[in-house]
Amino acid sequence: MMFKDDKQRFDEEKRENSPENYQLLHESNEQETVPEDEEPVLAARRLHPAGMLFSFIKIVKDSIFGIGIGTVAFFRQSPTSALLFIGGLAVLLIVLSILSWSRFTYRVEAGELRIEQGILIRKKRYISLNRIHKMDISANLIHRLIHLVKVQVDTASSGDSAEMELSAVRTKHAYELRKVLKNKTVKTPAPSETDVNEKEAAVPHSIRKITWGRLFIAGTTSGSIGVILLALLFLYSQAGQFIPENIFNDTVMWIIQLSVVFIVGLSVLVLVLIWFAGVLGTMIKYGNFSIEKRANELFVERGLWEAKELTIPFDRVQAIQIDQSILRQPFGFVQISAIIAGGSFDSKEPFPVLFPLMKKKEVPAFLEEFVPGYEHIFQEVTPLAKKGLKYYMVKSMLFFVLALFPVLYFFPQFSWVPILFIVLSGLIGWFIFKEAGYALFEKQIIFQRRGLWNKKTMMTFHRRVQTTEKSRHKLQQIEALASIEISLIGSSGVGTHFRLQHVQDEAANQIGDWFSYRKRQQKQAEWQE
Amino acid sequence: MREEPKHLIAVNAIRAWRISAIIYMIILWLLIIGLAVLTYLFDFLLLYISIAAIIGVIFTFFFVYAIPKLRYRRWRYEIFEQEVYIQHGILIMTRTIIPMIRVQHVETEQGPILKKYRLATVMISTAATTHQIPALTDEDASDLRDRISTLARVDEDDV
Repeated sequence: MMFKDDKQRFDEEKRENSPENYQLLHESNEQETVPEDEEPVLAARRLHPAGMLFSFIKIVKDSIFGIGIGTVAFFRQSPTSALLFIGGLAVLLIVLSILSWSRFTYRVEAGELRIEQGILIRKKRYISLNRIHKMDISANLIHRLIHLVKVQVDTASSGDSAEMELSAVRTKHAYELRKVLKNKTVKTPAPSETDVNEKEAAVPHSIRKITWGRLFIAGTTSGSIGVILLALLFLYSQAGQFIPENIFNDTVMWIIQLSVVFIVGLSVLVLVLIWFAGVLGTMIKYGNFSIEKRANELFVERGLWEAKELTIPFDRVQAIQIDQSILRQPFGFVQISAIIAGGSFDSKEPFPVLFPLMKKKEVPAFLEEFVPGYEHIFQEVTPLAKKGLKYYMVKSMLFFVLALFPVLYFFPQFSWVPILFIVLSGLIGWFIFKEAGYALFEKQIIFQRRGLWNKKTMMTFHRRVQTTEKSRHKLQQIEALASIEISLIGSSGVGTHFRLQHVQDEAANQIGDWFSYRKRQQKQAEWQE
Repeated sequence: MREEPKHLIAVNAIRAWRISAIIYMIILWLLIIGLAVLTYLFDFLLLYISIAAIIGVIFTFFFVYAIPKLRYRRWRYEIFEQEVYIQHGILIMTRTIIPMIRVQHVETEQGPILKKYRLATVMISTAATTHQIPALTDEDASDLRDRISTLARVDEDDV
């Protein structure tokens, strides 16, 4: 990681020092008609004292496991030593958080955002304002109570979600910082400032919000129902270990004695509660969702309690993906997300959602308005050749077929269970095969495939594709089949890979030719003749 | 992706791979000999040591003799003005296209065994993937590296 950063920094320096680039920089400076007032400066500041609290919480959260084990270990010796341990630890952590807060400062100086921190090892991190790609402001419940915000500053490099985080900043100060950064940050594909301003004036900012009705549907079909049911099942199966046996048995007996009507009523109630939890979860996550199109970027805002913001510059959008979960597909609802280079809302969601729920037929218009170029995402895809079907079936069913034999041998009376699963998995395999496909345009490509739950349709541009890889194993070679994979930049350094398995060899070659810069040039040359 | 890339890698790659395979096999055989000694001292069943020996022979044959040869035959590469084209893989044959304008950086690497045969490995990284061409002659490798790095221009717009 270190190495990569160094390397990038080195490249950066090299580029800045090279004569062509000097000229480039120079030119762009001249073009800027907006008067560049003197170097933006922001005096050194500490975080709001609440920052101490946040760093304390963070340390405790990160080391809760160790603390727990330590406490238990001490408790075994004697309760007093456990108390001492916790007390000592608390004092130590409090001192640490106070010290680290007092050592943490940020300022803007000489065209750089400078952050200094560290108690024993002092770390200084200077980021050139030119390299800062975006700055995000968010606020959770605690932040809101004391009128603070969290600031995250991102550069284009490495893709570690947020490069710098200021955990507690007064709202006023955050906007001051934003103003200073805005003046200097990169306006990518480097159009001159006037251009941007004109465009900004010409293009009315379109905004799309989600209705509560739609959110309600999104929550109902969110699939959390399944997850929660599984969790409950797991809890039930584990319950015997934690609850004393007689109580457990008594409860079970009690339930069995109750009338069927009551049991049905109870399970309906449980289901309703689960469904309600799903809806609530979705509302909290996506409440107040809005997406706004600005001149150079998309601006997404969401969250009922914790308002989160995300700015996505257009040139960082690598691909658009449409997800149709098994629960939503029959009703024609989809979710739209973007594959982007660089950070997203959080690490659990590497590819930010551009719209949580939408009717399939509304999608093209939405895409045309917000991310033009992707509006043909529902182009009919070329399905796979029939001969690929068996691979999908085998892959899907293999586990259960193998499981059948031991079950037949040891528990013949239960053999219907694996047989049921074999049939089900066969159906799933058939569906996965049926829905896989690709489509090629002059400049774009569409890959469509089904995971277990989601049908995913991905569309990207030729210039976003990093590499293409075709692979064949022996059987595929004999049958003229192949697997094709295209790689895009992902949010983490490893890239995002899309693979379509068991397509016809000819189709894989066609995709390869579509990607090949050499073949493209040849074709162009032929056209010109 | 129809026709295979033109160039084979250096023939000495087979030898270099064999040497590194032999080193691993020596470790395996030391373990087997250890087992043999234990069998002799403590009267273990002869079955185990014979199975171990058979596995050892099979492994040695494959990793030292067969696989390097097959691997060499499959490894191919070709450098065009606009892209690098690589093929590799014994059981699963993979062909990759890496456009020059997508290349972020190129490295060459040379371990002690490769050095003995004056060979080097070239590693080509894009923003999403890393690919390598193993065992090119020193000159070819540095030539290739220079060529790729002059041809490769990172397109700032597209990151």
